[in-house]
Amino acid sequence: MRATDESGPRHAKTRPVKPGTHELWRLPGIFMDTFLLRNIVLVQAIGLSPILAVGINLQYGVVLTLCTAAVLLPCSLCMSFFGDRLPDWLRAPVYTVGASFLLIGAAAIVDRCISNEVYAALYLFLPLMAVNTIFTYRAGGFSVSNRPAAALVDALGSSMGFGLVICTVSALRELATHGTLWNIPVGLPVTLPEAAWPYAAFIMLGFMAAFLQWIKSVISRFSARFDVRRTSRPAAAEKRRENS
Amino acid sequence: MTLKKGNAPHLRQNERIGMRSLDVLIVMIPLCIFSSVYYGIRPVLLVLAGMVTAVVCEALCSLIGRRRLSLSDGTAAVTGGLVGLLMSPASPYWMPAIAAAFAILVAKMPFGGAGRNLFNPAAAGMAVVTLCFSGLLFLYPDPGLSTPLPLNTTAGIITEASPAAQLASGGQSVYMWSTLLPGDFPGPIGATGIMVLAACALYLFSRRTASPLITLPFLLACAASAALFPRVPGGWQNSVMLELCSGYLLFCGVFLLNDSVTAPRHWLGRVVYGVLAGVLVMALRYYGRFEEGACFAVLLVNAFSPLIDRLCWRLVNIRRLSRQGQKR
Repeated sequence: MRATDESGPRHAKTRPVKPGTHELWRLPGIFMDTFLLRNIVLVQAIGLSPILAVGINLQYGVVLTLCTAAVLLPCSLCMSFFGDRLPDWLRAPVYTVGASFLLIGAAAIVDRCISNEVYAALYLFLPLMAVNTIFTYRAGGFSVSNRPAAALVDALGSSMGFGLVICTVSALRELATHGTLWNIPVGLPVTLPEAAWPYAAFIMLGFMAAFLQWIKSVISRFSARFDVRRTSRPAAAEKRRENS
Repeated sequence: MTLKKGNAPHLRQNERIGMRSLDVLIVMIPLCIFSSVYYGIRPVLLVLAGMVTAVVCEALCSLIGRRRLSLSDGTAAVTGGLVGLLMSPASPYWMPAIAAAFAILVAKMPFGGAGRNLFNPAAAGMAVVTLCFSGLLFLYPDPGLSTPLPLNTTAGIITEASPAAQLASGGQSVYMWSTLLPGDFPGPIGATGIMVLAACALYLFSRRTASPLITLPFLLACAASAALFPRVPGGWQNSVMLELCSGYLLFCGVFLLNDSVTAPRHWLGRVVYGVLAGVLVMALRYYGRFEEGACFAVLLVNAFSPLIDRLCWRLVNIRRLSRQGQKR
């Protein structure tokens, strides 16, 4: 495996792997890393524009998530196979063109198979996804320098992490704006039409990011305590032996 | 030499954070009295609604975050009071409550409480109310009727176009010096008493709670913009007078911009901050969607405040910095 290049994310450094560990055991770690711990939206602040602009309806959120996954998975796989054969300067144009072709297919599927209305709402943002920084960052940085399985899991984690955020934000905004969820009335007494404006999404993202940081701090505190206990046990036993 | 690292507001010895808040709270009393002369007891209740909500929200946040209860510094009451003073006397009681709750729950406590907020909480609360309830917020009752407003309902209150609305619609204003200076025109609770506000500003300057280095450049910038680009006929004097007295421009210059946490500390930084805020307030009036967008201007300059502070400090100390560079 090639060493991670300077521009890409450095999983090898953030998650030290014991020598001799099979690569399969790294995959859950990579998934959790990109899905939650280093969430692409909440921690790295990438891909905000679709969330702010069209994250106003749960349907749009789910469709955008599926489109992201449909483009990111093949792109990452291809890049992990052929990426290192391409010179650095050619990678960005190649995967932008590749992503555009895949998005044309995804857009056609959305238009024909899912719903005309959803396509009408998203038609501006689907082509923009091709040049979205998620693709440039994930496909360019991580997948080029990793094996296909790791690249695939990383892409899955990224798209699901993006989906988690956009679906949560769009569901909350749909509830607040129209009092509906997946276009089904929920029966809320008060609605706030202004929640569809971008500032509401910014506030929600801020709170979600803070919540994620809190969860991470709780986990790290818990694991630190666990580590202390584990390391202190043999030391305590040794002390007892000395005393006896 | 030992250097102490701490958050704003940076106070001298024998000075508590509560003293500054107390100054602002004292100054709110004449503003409330002034408004209640025209509109009865309702404005006072609106200000109290804002204050109580802010205090309750801060106490709740302190309890949830397991922090020390920080009500004694009075910043929550000040935020709630300022939000209440910016409401229309005819607005329902839930409106200052929502603005104060947003100010404390979103703009203040998540950032770490008093002294750590990046943006002025009162301005953030007003911004949300302006965006969400602009239809209700800018309905000002007619002070000329001199009958107390009903306490339990907002129905039947006769409203009138404020000077800010007249300026925004491009029509000719009916207000003159004689009506503007005594505060006999429709507007927010705390922002119509021009003479009272001026007296409050002098008191706060003398107590060093507010800085004239922010307020005066701010007012000068606003006046210059109004004189250069008048929106009403009748010469530049008329334009300057109407622009300065309408909306809550003066209130913003005295209270919102002089927040000791979000304002720059350096003297030149304060001047630049005031001028920038003045230009932004006027730009938002000329091109903005609302008749008064001073709260957005305050939030925008708050974002630039640390940068302004650092740049101005470097500009003033450029000789010292270059000498240090030569020595190295």
